[in-house]
Amino acid sequence: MEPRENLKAAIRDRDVPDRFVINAFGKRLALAFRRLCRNSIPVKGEMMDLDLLEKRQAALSWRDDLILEMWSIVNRAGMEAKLGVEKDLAEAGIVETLWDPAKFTRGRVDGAMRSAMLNELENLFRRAAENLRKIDTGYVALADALLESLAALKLPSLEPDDPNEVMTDASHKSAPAPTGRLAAMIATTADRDLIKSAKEWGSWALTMVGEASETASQKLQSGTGLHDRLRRSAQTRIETAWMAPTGEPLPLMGQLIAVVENVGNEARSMAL
Amino acid sequence: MTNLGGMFTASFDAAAGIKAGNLRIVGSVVRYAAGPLKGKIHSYLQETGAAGALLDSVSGSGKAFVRTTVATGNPMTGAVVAGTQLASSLGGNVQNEIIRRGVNRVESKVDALASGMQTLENLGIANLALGATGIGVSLVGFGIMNARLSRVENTLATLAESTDRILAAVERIRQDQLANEFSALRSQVKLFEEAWLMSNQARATQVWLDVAQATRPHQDRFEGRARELLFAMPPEIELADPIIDALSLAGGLRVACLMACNESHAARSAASENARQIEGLTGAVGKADLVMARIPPSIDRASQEWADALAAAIDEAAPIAERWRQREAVAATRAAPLTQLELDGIAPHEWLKAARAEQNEPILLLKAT
Repeated sequence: MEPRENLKAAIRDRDVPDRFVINAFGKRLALAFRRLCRNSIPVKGEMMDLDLLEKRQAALSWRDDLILEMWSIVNRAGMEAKLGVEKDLAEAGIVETLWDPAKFTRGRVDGAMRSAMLNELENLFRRAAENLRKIDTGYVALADALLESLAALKLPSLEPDDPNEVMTDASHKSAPAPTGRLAAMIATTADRDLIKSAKEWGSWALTMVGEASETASQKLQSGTGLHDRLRRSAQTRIETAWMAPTGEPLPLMGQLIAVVENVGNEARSMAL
Repeated sequence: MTNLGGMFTASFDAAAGIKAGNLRIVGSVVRYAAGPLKGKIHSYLQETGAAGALLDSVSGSGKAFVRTTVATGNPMTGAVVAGTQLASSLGGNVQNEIIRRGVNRVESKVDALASGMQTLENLGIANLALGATGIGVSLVGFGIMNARLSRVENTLATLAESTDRILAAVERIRQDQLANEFSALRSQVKLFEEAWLMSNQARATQVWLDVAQATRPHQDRFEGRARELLFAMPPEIELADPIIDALSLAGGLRVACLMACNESHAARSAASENARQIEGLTGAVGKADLVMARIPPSIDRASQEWADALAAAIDEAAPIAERWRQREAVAATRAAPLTQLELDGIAPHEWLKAARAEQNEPILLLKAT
């Protein structure tokens, strides 16, 4: 039997549900009807698929503007969170500074990040949904899905749910599979630097811990640069839990990028 | 309306509408932006032989043009910098010109260049026209194609000088083989050009068909190289860009060859395929990707320094993203006039010939009816 006949037989014997056939046929019919409508409009000029091209480009531009605006908002929130930690440095005890800096910084960072960005993000998504609807009325469902996705975001928890997590806060965890091309690209370039910082930090911390006494005071902490340890901890918390595009659990920025990428890709696919 | 030889109208027919916002340019097509005809095609843009003079004048100061264009992502900025050098070069040659040809001739040459540039600026397409992709059927003469090929090669050479990382990437895609690709493409352009001089139309047609066929593997290899660079992690966006320009040039050459043979269907198919290749490479790469690739990873996030780096990267990436969208649109609309030409009863060969012969206006219009 010829290969082609084999293929025919395989298709004939396969149990294909009717709904697949109907859906596929329906889609083709809808596409054919759309083309027919476009081609039969009796006005000057030739109608092309320029509309679709422009729609794809508009969807990409929408995705770009939203992602860049998200980065700005989250970065601003991070700056405010760091400022908050800086103001509270005097409250830090020597024990937590030396052995558990994350205990001091985590709640402060997470609380500040939440209050600084959530309203802004909500407003941004509302505007973005409106802009998406303006590109094409067919994107209404996608715009609604974008807004609904806000409720599904998992914010970094204020309290550590795993006691070991505090200890590993400053270390770099292996990143899971990236959530998209953009996230993967950012993670690839950022990883090099994070690993380098962690190594530098590790050797510095060992020296400092050895030199610190049990009666260490705020002056000592500040004088020996131990406050930098808290600053570094806050920085790490912001970068790994909030601003990293990848990680486990997925940081907020990673989740946001994934949502916007999905909606943007879907919008572009609908204009093919 | 200014009718030029029954095939074209002058571009100022569209310039006023574009300025007023009633018309807008998408690739090589002018569309109605408002009113009852919104979205419909007003006319098709086509570069002419006069565009070659503009490109040559800029290429005279080529290195400055390329360096500035690479740095800013904006060919128009490159042209301004190169133009300064061009002006001094013209100034230096004025005395000789006066002696050889007389004052009037020199002035008219400079005036023609300035007028051509003004036309492009009025239409808002100077960047597009001076870029590698061009406008309409992007090839109307060896001078234009050669200038564009040289620019792409110079851009690659300039990039290879910039960092070790980029040099490594250039070596990875075999710089020597890339040079051979450019050389082969240039030979095909020469053959294309020579065929226009043949007295026997049948022989010329055969040459054009052969060129279209021979260019195909180059086009595919450019696509493969660009894909390799663009989809690497991290992607080599800057390096992929001129190779996509080369892909666009190769595609443009094939379309021009097939149009010269009056093979409208084949030309349409070649244009469509090239457009798909280009959009397949850059269609999903947006400003955000270009921006994030430009922010140094050594800068701590959640800092003013990072915010400043983000703002600077947006400024740098915006014109590049804009140019990429234009390149996709130009590729998608390259064969758009063919249907209109059929309606008008004009053979593509004759139309291309007329565009090549035009020496005053760099851009002409084919009105949609």
